[in-house]
Amino acid sequence: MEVALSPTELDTGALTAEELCRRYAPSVCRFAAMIAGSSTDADDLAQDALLRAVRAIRSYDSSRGTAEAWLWRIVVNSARDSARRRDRARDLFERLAFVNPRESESVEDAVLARLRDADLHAHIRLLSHRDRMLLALRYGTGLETAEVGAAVGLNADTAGKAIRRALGRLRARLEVSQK
Amino acid sequence: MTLDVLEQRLADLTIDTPDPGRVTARVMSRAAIRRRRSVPRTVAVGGGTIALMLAVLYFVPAADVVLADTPIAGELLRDAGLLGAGNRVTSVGAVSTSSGVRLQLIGAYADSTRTVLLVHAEPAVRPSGLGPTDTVTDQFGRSYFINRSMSNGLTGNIVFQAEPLAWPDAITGARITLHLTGLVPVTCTGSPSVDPKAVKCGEGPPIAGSWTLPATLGVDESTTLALPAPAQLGPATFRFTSVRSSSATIAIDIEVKGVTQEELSRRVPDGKKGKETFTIMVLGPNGEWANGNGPGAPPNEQGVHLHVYGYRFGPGEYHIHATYVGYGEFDRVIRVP
Repeated sequence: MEVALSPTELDTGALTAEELCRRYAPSVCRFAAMIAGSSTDADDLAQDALLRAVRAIRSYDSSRGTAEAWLWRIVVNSARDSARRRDRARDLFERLAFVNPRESESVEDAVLARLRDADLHAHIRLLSHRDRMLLALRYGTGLETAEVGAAVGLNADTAGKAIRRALGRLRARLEVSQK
Repeated sequence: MTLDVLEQRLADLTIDTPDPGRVTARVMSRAAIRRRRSVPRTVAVGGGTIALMLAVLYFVPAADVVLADTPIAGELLRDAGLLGAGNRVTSVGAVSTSSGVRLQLIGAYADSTRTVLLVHAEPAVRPSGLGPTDTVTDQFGRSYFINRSMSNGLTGNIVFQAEPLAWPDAITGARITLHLTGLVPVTCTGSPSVDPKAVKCGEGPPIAGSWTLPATLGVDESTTLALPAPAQLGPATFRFTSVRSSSATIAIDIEVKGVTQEELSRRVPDGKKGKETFTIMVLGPNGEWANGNGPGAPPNEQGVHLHVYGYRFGPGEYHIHATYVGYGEFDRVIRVP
């Protein structure tokens, strides 16, 4: 039968490059697609992140945490480096163009009902790199808030607040776009 | 905590992602590159060139592959779930005789989900239990578990299905060897076309022997397809994480949250083996059953990840139909090019 590795198997310390890629490449690719500015950037980011993880595999110590947490820290660092290289100017613009979140569920519902996935993705790409990363980790790869925090170096509470703020900024963008 | 509308849209967002298989192949390829040069450049280049030539000659069996010019029996392809990949099946022809049983490896096929070997036996036999000495190995000496075999006692045809070949076979092609050590003679009478229920089969005593059948083959590439929308059945949330298709196989990965593996695998007592509470099926464009994992059985679930694969008969709309007793069912469409 096709072997899908369980978290237990991955956390024994006997992690191999093949296992790592087979288990996590789809999630890393989805994460990359969600935060990258283009499909080419997503391809490069997914490859760079997985390559770093594979090359660092001997440094993985199961006594210090799960393989998943170790991998996502590497992926997040790759994404940050990638953003520094490619998006420095745009990130600066995004910070200057900061929009305060508004709370209007009814407006949001109306907007979302008309919004195609491609358009929503386009709005996500307009967020700051940090916001994109938080949303991609939480919703793109399905990590729990605490796991997102571990990946980006925040405690669970702070990560939760950061994710909510990122969501708020996305909501604000969606509403602005409909005006 | 429940997800609000925006959070749900983000979780369900359908986006084009890089192909995980292609990314993995590139990563493994680049990871294998040595970073430090410990010998002088000239020696390294010369030695490397020779080594590369030798490596190409030995490790790239795909260069020798000739796809089947001779048509393989449609019945055998159907039994193997290879109807959609008839022209991708490599014709082999290797023969091995031991203890009076002649096995001929007629064809072989591999993609990222499975490795299939088509064998004809004279007289008709079935594998004897498929123990640890019955293996498929590749040119690197790695063993692949044979997870399924189907024997036809009337025709003598046997289909072996093993795990997918590991990297770098997908890039270089593979030189594989099927090795069997035990068979059981099968004698069947009757005609399935006249009356399938009238076909009777008997078995003889097991035969020990050694049958070795080599083959060289390429590995079929797969295409990443759009992800179907998630589904909810009672407490279980099903999120599609990957859908890929090759010319013969549709591979579907599903992440399940809200239930444990034990809950998903639970059986309702029915006086026999018990009825499965959760089943998932792949149906072809004409509603034909296309499950590669087994008839409606939950596939090999590990933790909360399901890996389902179906047979691709050709392009069209395939359906994934799941039923969870007490909670309902869902149907999702996959458009396969």
